Amino acid sequence: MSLLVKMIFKKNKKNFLFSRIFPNSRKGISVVIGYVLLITFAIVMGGIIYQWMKTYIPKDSLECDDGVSIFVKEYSCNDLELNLTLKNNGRFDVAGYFIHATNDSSQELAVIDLSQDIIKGGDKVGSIIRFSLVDDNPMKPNDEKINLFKLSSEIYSIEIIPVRFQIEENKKRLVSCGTSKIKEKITCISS
Amino acid sequence: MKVKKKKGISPVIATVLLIAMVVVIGLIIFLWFRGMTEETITKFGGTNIKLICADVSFEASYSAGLLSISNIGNVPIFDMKLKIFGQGSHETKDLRDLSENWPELGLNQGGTFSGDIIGVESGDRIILMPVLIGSSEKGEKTFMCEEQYGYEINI
Repeated sequence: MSLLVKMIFKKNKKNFLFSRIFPNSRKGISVVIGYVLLITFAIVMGGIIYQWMKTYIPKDSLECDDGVSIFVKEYSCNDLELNLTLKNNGRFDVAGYFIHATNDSSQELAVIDLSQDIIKGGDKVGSIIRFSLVDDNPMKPNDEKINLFKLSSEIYSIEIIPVRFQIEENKKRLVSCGTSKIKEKITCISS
Repeated sequence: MKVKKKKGISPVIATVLLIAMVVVIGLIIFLWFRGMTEETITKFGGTNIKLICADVSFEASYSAGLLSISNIGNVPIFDMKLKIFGQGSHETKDLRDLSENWPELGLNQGGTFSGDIIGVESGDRIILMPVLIGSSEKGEKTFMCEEQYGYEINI
């Protein structure tokens, strides 16, 4: 015990036990190094949070310009041959359209794709009837287009959704104008 | 009296070592934290798929067992979930399980679906919730949009 006491109170600044029991001088890291560590840590945390939040930045959605509109000016049907005259009564050019039909008056939604039945006036690209195979909007305002369809079955009504090419983020994109959808009662039956 | 010399590393080297340690520890914490959070699914060039749900636009109708859906928007719909509400309860079913007519790749722009579905007659209303497909670090993944982006049909 006395030896232990002597070890503790030995007058030596470098006495390990003494400095642990009676810490006179406290040392720490340099202030400059502390700043460096803090700033580095903040930058690393900022980078982590940026990577995670980056995907939540909203981008402009692909929408059709307001004012796109086409309508069925006239039609005729002869033994399942449907002749449609479409007119662009909007303010923007149109590239083509989706066309679907119902075969029953009780159907609310037109789901029969008529694009495969087109024989004149347009080209089927996927399920779109395009007025031109060039990526452009050839149907100008007030233009009229006549399309001829050879239907495979009787129809009761049709729904048409115009499509057009628009520049989005420096790329030409084909945009469906769902808000400009039209519905027309057209009865076309076999004679 | 002998004076022992204190030896230590240079302050410059110490600073470099400390910064390196902080960066490594930061990376470890980042990788660990990332494993705990849900995986981010993106679509259309890095946009979070949850934001894309707001751009989905479709119409639907149901009559005498026949369900019809028309995609009138610009976001392809990969799949559809049906939340069927009945007397004090609800259940969610996948349209691919209820009908064979659903296209394998889903409904693109202007795409339509029509098919007989069974198992919904007991309900009084259905909410159709679109399922989108996006990219994640582990490849393509599906994501079901929330009910607020769904389409309600009364049976």
